[in-house]
Amino acid sequence: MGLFGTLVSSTGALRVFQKALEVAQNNVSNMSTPGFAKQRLLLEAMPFDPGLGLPGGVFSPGVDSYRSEYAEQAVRRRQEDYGLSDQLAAELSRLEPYFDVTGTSGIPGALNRFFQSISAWSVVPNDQVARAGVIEQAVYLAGRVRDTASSLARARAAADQQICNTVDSINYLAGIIRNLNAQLRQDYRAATDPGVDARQHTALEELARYVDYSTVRQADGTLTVLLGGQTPLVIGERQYEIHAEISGASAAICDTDGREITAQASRGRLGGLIQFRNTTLPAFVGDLDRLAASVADRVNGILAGGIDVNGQPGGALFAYDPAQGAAASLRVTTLRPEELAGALAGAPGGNGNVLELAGLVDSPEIDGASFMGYYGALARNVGRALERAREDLKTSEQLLLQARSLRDEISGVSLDEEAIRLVEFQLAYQASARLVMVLSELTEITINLVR
Amino acid sequence: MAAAVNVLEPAGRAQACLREAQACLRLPAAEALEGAGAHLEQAIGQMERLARDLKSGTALSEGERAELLERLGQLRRETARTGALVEGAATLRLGWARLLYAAACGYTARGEPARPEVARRLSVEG
Repeated sequence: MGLFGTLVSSTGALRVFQKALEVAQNNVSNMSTPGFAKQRLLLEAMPFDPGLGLPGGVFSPGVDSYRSEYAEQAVRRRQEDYGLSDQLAAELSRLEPYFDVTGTSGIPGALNRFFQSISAWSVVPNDQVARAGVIEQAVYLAGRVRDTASSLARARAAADQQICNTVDSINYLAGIIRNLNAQLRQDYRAATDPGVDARQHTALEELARYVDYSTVRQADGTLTVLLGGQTPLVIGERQYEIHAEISGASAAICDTDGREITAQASRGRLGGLIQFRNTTLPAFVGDLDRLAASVADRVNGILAGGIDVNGQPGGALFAYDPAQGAAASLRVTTLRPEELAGALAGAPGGNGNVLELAGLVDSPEIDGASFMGYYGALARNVGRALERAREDLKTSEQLLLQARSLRDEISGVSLDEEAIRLVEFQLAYQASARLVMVLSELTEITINLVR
Repeated sequence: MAAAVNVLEPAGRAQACLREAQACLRLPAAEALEGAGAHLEQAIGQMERLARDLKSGTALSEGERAELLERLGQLRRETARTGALVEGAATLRLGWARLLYAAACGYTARGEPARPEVARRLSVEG
């Protein structure tokens, strides 16, 4: 091997070590960059055989990333669970204030007042003031029931708006991934650009907070993203936007062609919202409607079986429209106080029918429970659902931290490690630099000797 | 009041031990699991002490009973969460180990990651 061969080999080694220093320095600079995974320079020994003129040395086939797709996937899966729990807990938190369990306000307070007015009426069955008091408390009760129904309707509207916002966020993040795919196709150097890689993975992790999906990496480095593992969100440079349909009784998610894909969005914030909007909330609304209808039907039924002060059959005190929902439409009729049927048919002027009304307070009317008991169970169900959601949120938050710790352990940038690598490469660089300097001086001396 | 301190204190300490265990389990590593195990043992010791106190007939007022029940409810939730974290750590590590085995040794015919085999060589001298 001649002097020039040695020079070429040493120069090549210097370039490699220079590149290694740049990679290590880039790792340190980007330690806090979201989504950045540290890189390492791959080194390979070149063939060395002086007899055959092979100068040896080192060359670099390229840069490799420490990123572990296993760890990234684990983080994304737990991010999906966290998103679902977080959203569910947030929506249920909004419901909790509407269901009073103390019995002093809202529906339980109104039920108490209504039955107290009936008890007072039973003492003086022909007193107009007592009769007016019953109608007044009936109006109050209907108002509290409607208020609660309105609150649930507002919670539904808020969930609908959140669904639209979440779908917008999903489409936005899919757009970022599509743009990165375009960059990868237009510039081959983007495939090894750690910045592009970091932005890709940041977008993917953010997307996991909103919805569950799977990815397929193509040979050209672009990502195919499939919502729920089925519906395309991004394929190459093409994005397929999803949209929300919230006009019907249930919220629906549709793909670009209008096909419903709601069942595919089972996790992430969108999954949590769909679960709340289409399952949890309608169940509570249904229970409230059942309570309202039962109170109205039973009171009306007892009144119909009695007679008023004029001996006429009793009229209905409550009315509602099942199509609109019993709770949302519950109201008091135009019944006048003297038309309230407090007496039994065979005992005009008595309080027999009033006593039957008063007996409703403890009577098992709905699934073996009194009206108050049924409402209490409904309020407890709301409370339990919220408690479960909060517990799930705490657990999923810690599981997400666990996955991130594993990812950092595998692919994160450690200052200590990078410091050691920097020192190692600096020493190697200094050694090679000295060798080049010695060879350069020797070459000058030899040239001068020849001259 | 002394009775209240004796009864409520072990539950509170057990809860604190569980929180320490959960803090250890943020990192899904073997050392973390060992550290968490030590805290879990302490939590168990506290609960055994509480059970002994209750079995010995310690009198509880209604207020103490209600508070103890609430603390035990919280303890149950914390225990469930700690269990989920232990399972989560095991799932992550097992998955990672499978990946490493597969990368190092490939797959079996059933699609399971292969385990490294010890090479044996037979030599016959005669």
